[in-house]
Amino acid sequence: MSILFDSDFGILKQNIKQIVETKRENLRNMHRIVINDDPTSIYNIIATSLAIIEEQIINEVNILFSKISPGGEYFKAIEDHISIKSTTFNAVHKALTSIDGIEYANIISTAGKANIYLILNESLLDSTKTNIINSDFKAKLWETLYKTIPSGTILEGNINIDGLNQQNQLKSYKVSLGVRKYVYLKVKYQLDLQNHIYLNIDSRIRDIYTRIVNNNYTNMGIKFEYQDFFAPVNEIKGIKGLKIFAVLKDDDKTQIANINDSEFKENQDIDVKPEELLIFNLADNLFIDITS
Amino acid sequence: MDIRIDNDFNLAFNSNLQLVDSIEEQKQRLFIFLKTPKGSLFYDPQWGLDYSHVVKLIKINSLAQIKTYLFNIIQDLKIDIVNLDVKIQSNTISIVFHFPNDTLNMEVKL
Repeated sequence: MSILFDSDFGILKQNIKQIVETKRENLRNMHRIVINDDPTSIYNIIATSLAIIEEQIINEVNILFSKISPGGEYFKAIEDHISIKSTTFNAVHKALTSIDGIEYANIISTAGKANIYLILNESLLDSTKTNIINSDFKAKLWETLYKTIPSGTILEGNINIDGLNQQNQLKSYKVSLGVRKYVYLKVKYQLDLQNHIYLNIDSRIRDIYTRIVNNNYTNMGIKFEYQDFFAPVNEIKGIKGLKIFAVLKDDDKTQIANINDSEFKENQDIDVKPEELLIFNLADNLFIDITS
Repeated sequence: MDIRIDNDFNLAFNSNLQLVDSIEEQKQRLFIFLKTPKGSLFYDPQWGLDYSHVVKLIKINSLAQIKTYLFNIIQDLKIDIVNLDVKIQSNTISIVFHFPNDTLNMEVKL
């Protein structure tokens, strides 16, 4: 029988009186030694004196466990320490995207040089969408860069992020803004049997594409691969073949109907630069048609 | 039942702690009480011999009141004694508690 620990509940929170009682109960059950709850007993005098220390240990252990359990003070400190000072791609990426306002980030590095591309919440940018105007955000970004970028790495980019460290030394970094690229898709499908009735092919293709986009096109620098969009041939009974026509635009102001067919590339991959993010609008910018 | 101690409050050892029971335990209980000044146990400050009270009683040489005080203690501690002798000589009070087949002696000097 344990006084301090319980395999089901962990550390038991007990006061001095409870500890002494537990010990007496232990003696009674295990050794048939019956000691009354009486200050006259030398056993109680000794057990109570020890229980003072034991209560302190219980309290300290409980505090310790609360600090190291997930969400606890110490746990958080370790988490910060590891995540913010680690310089793997994943750690830097995570540190950057955890800053409020950064929606996407991509880091391209070669020996001694790195490019950081960020896609930000537009409220942080000026009217031309080329400069960061929010200084709070800049300060947070500087701190993250200061703690994650190894010394000796030169950052390239067109936006300066300056700051002073604790030694009052000026440290400046550079980042670039990422670019949103809007994907316009035209899909022409062919059916197996001309006279069979197929229901909801359009919406089923949209569902499949939504899944594919959510799985495959989640971040910057991912190029457009037309074969991703052949999945309906496999998944929808009756579709014999597909043709994928795609074009990228810098904004989404053009209507798909107004784009000339010659602009679309048929069944071709489209390269995407590391700073570019593909944005699909499967409601408005996807046109599905049947072909004979 | 309790752990056995000797007259100097040392724990009695014989490869393991020794226990004390029945009359022996009652005697030990009384002994501990008489050796514990009231207020010295932090977890029960009312418990222990009220020396200043006893000293007052000695000063006024009130044998009967001392006896009453001691009998009250004995009753509280649930101790079965046969008899109780109290003598006051000059500045010393000597008390003898008679247990069945045993005695406990105590002297208090002013």
